[in-house]
Amino acid sequence: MAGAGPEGGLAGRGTMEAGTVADDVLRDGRLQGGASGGWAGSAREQILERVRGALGRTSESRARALADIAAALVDRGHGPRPPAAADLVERFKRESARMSSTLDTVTSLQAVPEAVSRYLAAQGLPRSGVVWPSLAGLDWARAGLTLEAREAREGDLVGVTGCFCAMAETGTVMTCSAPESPATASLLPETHVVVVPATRIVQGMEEAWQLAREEYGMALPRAVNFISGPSRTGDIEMNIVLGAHGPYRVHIVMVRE
Amino acid sequence: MRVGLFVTCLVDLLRPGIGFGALRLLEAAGCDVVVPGGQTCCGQPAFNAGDTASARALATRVIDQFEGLDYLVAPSGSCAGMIKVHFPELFGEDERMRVRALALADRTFELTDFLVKFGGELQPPGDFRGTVTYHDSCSGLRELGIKRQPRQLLGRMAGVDLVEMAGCEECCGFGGMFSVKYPDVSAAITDRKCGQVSVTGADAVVLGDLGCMLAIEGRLRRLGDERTRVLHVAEVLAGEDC
Amino acid sequence: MRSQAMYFKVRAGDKLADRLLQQNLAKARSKFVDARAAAVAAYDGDFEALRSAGQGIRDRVLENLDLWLETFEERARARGAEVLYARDGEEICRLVTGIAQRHGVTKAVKSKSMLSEEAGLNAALTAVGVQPVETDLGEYIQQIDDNEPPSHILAPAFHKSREQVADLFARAHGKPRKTDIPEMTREAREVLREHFLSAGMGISGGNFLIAETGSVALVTNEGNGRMVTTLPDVHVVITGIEKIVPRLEDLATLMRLLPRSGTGQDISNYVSVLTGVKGEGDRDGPSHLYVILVDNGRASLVGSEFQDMLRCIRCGACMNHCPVYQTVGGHAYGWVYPGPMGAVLTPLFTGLGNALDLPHAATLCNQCGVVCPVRIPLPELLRRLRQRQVEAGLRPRGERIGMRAWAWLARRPRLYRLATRLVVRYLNWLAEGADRIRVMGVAPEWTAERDFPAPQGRTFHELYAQRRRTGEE
Repeated sequence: MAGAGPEGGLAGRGTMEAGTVADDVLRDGRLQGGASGGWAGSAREQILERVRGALGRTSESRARALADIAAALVDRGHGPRPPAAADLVERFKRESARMSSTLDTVTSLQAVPEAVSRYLAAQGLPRSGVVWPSLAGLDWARAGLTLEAREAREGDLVGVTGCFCAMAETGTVMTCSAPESPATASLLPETHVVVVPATRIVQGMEEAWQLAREEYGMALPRAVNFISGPSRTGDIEMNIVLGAHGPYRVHIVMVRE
Repeated sequence: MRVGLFVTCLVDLLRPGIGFGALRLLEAAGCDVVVPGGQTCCGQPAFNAGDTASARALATRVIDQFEGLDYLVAPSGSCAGMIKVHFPELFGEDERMRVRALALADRTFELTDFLVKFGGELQPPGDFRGTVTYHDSCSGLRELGIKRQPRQLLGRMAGVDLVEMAGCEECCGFGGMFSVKYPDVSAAITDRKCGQVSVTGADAVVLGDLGCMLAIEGRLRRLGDERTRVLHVAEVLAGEDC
Repeated sequence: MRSQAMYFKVRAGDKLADRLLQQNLAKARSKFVDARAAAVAAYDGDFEALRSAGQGIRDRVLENLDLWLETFEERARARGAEVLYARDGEEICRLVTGIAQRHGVTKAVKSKSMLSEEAGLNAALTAVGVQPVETDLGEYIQQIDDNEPPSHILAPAFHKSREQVADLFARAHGKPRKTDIPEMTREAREVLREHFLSAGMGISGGNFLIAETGSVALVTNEGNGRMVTTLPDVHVVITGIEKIVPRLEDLATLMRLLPRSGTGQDISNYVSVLTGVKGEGDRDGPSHLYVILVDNGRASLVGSEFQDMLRCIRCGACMNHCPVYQTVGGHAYGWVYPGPMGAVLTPLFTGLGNALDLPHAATLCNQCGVVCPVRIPLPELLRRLRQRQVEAGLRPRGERIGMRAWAWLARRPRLYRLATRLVVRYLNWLAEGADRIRVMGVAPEWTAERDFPAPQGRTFHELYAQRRRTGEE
């Protein structure tokens, strides 16, 4: 395989921004001590050169391939998928149950706090916890719940969140992190209650991404999480246990106006 | 229809009855059967050992021997798979030989596959009576799609009662030289197969490859099972008096 | 990680003799296989078409890997990630320990990363005073068992019984021994929760890198991947250069394949797509994100006859379905990756001569090939490795000469007929009139574990010639 070109060393060093950890580490003599013995180009340049050499990269093929890549990145075609569900809501209900989520339906957003209260009471669960700031406007107190609008911390036992959208194909909810929708709320508490507007249920992940592009443009939120039921593990004798590091239970309150 | 019977080296050496069974079946299906005299082995052991030069030399011999015939039929999914799938790969760089290999590959069939495709409503002449379970050999199943063909033919025999075993598509643990290089691992794999056979209570485990037969019969006997017979599908279909 | 792959034969023998391990393997054996079969059967689309699409996505990237890397890098950097490269395991260790020291980290929580195993990262972290804590339950069990390596890429401790795990927990946690699996899981959760909250750095692998958005996709069921990438202020991703997929739509396709093939799930519990660092006003998430792209042998496969192996998405289906893996477990393979994919990757990454047994430790049954979600022709690659061994003169002399002598003979039919007649007579003499040979002195391996069926009498060709003669008379 091709090694680094003679100019690889300088070119490689030039690509690293000054003051980065990489630079520090490089200066610390990583390369001088390397197996190749002496200055042999940065790891980046050497690896890319190896790949280029293996592919027989030329400037013409580079231009052509870059154009192909640019075209591929804006192409919205997708791979084979299961046939679309006739009824997205029904499919979502069925699939979320298969992933061990529970589900309740209400007819208005205002009815959500009561539904959450009912669920927690029926399960004998604590009535306090955190809620996404984006849902802080609902009257949680009237439903007898004490929910603080913030990210979750250790000791919070209930996390109430909304979602960006939900996917019928696998009964999945998609959440996007933001100041108003912190990622920890669906992760640290033992109980995760998620509010899903029926109008935000889409077919599958392709539609979810399409929706994200429409609403966020090219800049995805830091953390997009696709959540399908409570956390689980099968690491001891392959027995499935619900509640590994994340929630023990996921309850969906679907709003169907 | 001139059919060349590729006897296979293991049948030649250990169970010639299988070869004569195949002969009887092909003739019953109306074929004019030829046994090219210069045939030896398809070269698979060398191919799987990484000795490409030897494999090529043997493949060339097989092509020479069978080129003038309408079909090549082998009572083995493993050898037929070698000829049909791997011969053309062996001659990747030699275009002339690759074309010859591809032409032969097109005309090569595993025995039961051939009988189902070209044998019409052939009534197997065998007189086996009892329950059997079928072991799908890896090459036949996954290289050639041999699955329903033997069952279809066995289904035409009034005395044969087929009981499927769990894991009939799992490897028997033979793997050619694997069973010699790692006899302990190989035997442990075969033990699972033997267990699955025993659970069915079948009088015989039937299969289409002599390699699997060596593994399963050898292990059954070593484990003290003297009852379960291990038969090649050609022996059951044609009768064991061949 | 130091490879023990040269000792496969001995290690496999040890594993076969380990009765407890054999019991554990027997219990686990069919679970992944049945789960995959059920998931594929329940899939209401065309799974074979999906496999082809998965193959296509991975091939497209490999064909222009250099430029996809540049694209990913540029977009990830634009969102505040630091993209670094490591040529080998040692460089991974230097980069990660350097990052830890720069941020004054004394504890790192880790989500599963097989590259961290390739690099032996935990030892390197410990050496500079950083405590590494594995948080995948299986990896954690392995870590508290004196850092035993994982035996499976998805279920690292699947070779252990609950009793064994109970002993380890009692020892490591100093609490009364429990054998109820949900209770044990809760105990580990509580111990590890403390670590999540107190660690300064999270280290994860990356299932996919998405070029379109410069994102890292992480797939887990336990939620530890989310913890590791959400709670600590520094997140380090260590992943192979081959892990890029072009677009978010491609992730959607691959996510239909990966969980079904591996654990038999329609989807994993958590699929996280992580892009850049904590934004303005964000209440959680890391302030620093480093993505380390590792070669460690991968670049040398690009454009080679082994390039197909780079399609691998680490689902584990090949080992789950492998009769050899099912029989001896993962540790027999001696390095990071077990089963068929390991038998291909280990010699390619650690040197052909350092893993001589592995390409031969397979029956070539192709069960792996037919379940691989990206259609890697694993038996084909194993055979090619065998060819490379022969070409490099790495096979034992006896084997080489034996094979050539046999092939020489098989090209001379008259001589071959004579030889086979003699062999048949010799075998029948050995059988002493019985229908089997119990001990074959000249080739003891043949009868080490099984009887050898005696020949029926004469060779086919001998009998056939005889019959033709009688027929003609």
